[in-house]
Amino acid sequence: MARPERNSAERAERPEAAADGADAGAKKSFFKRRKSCPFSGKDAQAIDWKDVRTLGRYVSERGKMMPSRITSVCQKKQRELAQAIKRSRYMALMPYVRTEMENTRGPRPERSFDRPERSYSNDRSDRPSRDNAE
Amino acid sequence: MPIYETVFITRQDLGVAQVEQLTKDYSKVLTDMGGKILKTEQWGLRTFAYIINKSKKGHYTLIESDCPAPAVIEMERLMRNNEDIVRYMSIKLDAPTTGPSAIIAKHDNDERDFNTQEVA
Repeated sequence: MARPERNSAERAERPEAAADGADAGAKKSFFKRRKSCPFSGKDAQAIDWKDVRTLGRYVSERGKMMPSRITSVCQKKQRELAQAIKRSRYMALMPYVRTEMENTRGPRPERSFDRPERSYSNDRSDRPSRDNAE
Repeated sequence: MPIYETVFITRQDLGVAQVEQLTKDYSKVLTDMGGKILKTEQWGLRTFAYIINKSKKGHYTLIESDCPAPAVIEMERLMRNNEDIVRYMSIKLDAPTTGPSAIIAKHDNDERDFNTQEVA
């Protein structure tokens, strides 16, 4: 895997997207359904910087914004979304970076070097199986 | 007059009454300069996503107003001078909002959202 961090983040949040990135050419036949932009259209959701729950869906586990090619947000809305996330970050509703220490949402990928001495005992159960799957 | 939405964060150790007093003060600044308050919201004490000025929490307040730009500038100047204000942000809106903002509304919807996801 050439891009370890991104791939691991994708896998955690959007498994199908990670598979798509791995070999897009072969997967095309499996993933014909191209999702349309969730923010455009008739009864689309408005992008609001205060709506942390919605914005959180377009941010990786690390707290980085997701590229629109994964989330299939259209260009215009992606710009709005980026602005909203930045506002939300400024007002401390969302993190700029989320480190592994704060992350309580489940297992993290192995690769990082700033991991403390394995303190999350419940995380460990998931990790070996994940590695085998690779 | 344009519609502005201002959110400011006050220090954690302020009481609710003090926060409301501040809200009133700033609302008064806006109204004195010819503005109109459309909505105020107290989001209460929220935990920050990261540490600001060595503190982890703060009181969030939202003021939505229909007021001339100089009023907002004046209000921001006062906020900058006030040490109890940790952070503030004013944004120009295209249209006045209806109903409570997402932060408050989502508290009620939390469980319902999870349920619908499970069904679908």
